[in-house]
Amino acid sequence: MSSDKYQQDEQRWRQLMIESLRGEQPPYEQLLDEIGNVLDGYLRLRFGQLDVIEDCVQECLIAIHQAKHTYNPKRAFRPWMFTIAKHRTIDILRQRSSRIKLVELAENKYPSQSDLENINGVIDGLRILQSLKTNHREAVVLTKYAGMTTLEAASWLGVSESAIKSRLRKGLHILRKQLESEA
Amino acid sequence: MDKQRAQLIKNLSQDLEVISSPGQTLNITILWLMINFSLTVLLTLATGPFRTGSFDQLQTHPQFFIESLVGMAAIILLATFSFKSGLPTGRTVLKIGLTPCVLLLIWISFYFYGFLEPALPASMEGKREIHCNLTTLLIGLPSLLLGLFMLRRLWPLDPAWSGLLLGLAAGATPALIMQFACMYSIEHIFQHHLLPGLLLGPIGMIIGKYSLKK
Repeated sequence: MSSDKYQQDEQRWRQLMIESLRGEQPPYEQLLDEIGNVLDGYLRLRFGQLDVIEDCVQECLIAIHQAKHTYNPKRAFRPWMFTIAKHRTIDILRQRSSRIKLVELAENKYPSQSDLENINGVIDGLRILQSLKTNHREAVVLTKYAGMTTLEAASWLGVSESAIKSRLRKGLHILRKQLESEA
Repeated sequence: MDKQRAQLIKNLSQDLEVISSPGQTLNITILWLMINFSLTVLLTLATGPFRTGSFDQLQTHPQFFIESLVGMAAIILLATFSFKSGLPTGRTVLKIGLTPCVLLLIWISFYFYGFLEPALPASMEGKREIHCNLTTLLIGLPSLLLGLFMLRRLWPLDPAWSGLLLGLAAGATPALIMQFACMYSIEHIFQHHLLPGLLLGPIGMIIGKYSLKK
């Protein structure tokens, strides 16, 4: 995104938010509409075509609505908005299992070579996961993208369920930190 | 755009109300500090009188004045930054909490220095009937709970750390007030004032983790 567009968006959103805090509905509707689209793009770029993305966007909009009294009009709007959105997204990913259409291999107890290629393809396509160690990435992808339970993922990888839970927790923690550092 | 999202946006817009002073924590911090100190003094008085001449010692013993001043500043900063952590600014609580925690450590280090050179001569004067370790702990608890209730109205992203900062502020207050109410002896201060007071930090952390979660 060009610096001019970034600045224009920032100024417009800030102005819309200031008007919204005065109780004006049309600017608020426009603001939520615009940031909804931005969050949609932002999350799809980082997490791929995960089927909970739309849920994440809507939950983020609700969170932003509930937290609107914490926005200081003297400060930039974007860091405030993204801070809430990132935390809410990670919380949702923690709470929910999800599935992407590409990966149907969760139903197979033992992975075939093509399954592994599929899942590696998914992993490679997701920029956000590249910073994770293999162990953590496997736990995140199997439970959050392939939709496996922690027990299924543990059986698939031949490790204990507690090990998967621990790797998942660590993996999501690293993702949260990475998202925070992108502010 | 998803129809559900469009409907959600419409509903949220209809739910909009005017917000008078958005993004501010100064008022809430001042209010909590005033209630916290008033409540602590009142509850301390309810358990026994203050040590005779303890406030005069602020003038006659500069080291006592400075250590009390630093303690007071630490409490104010801990409360300020705890409430600030209720605003989603992108700054981590670790960064937010560093300054007040350093000041808190400086305050505690005054009492370590007191082992070599105490601010006041050790005395049993002011010794309280009730166990002051339990008193310190219990006196700080209402302020902590009130503060967490107030903090809940904001949007703390790291509830445990926000609770820790608030717990330390709520616990340090009776610990500081006890230097005026109770006997002054370094060992006694550590065991019966500072330790139970600081224990409210982890207590605040645990309560905050569950009560402040959005």
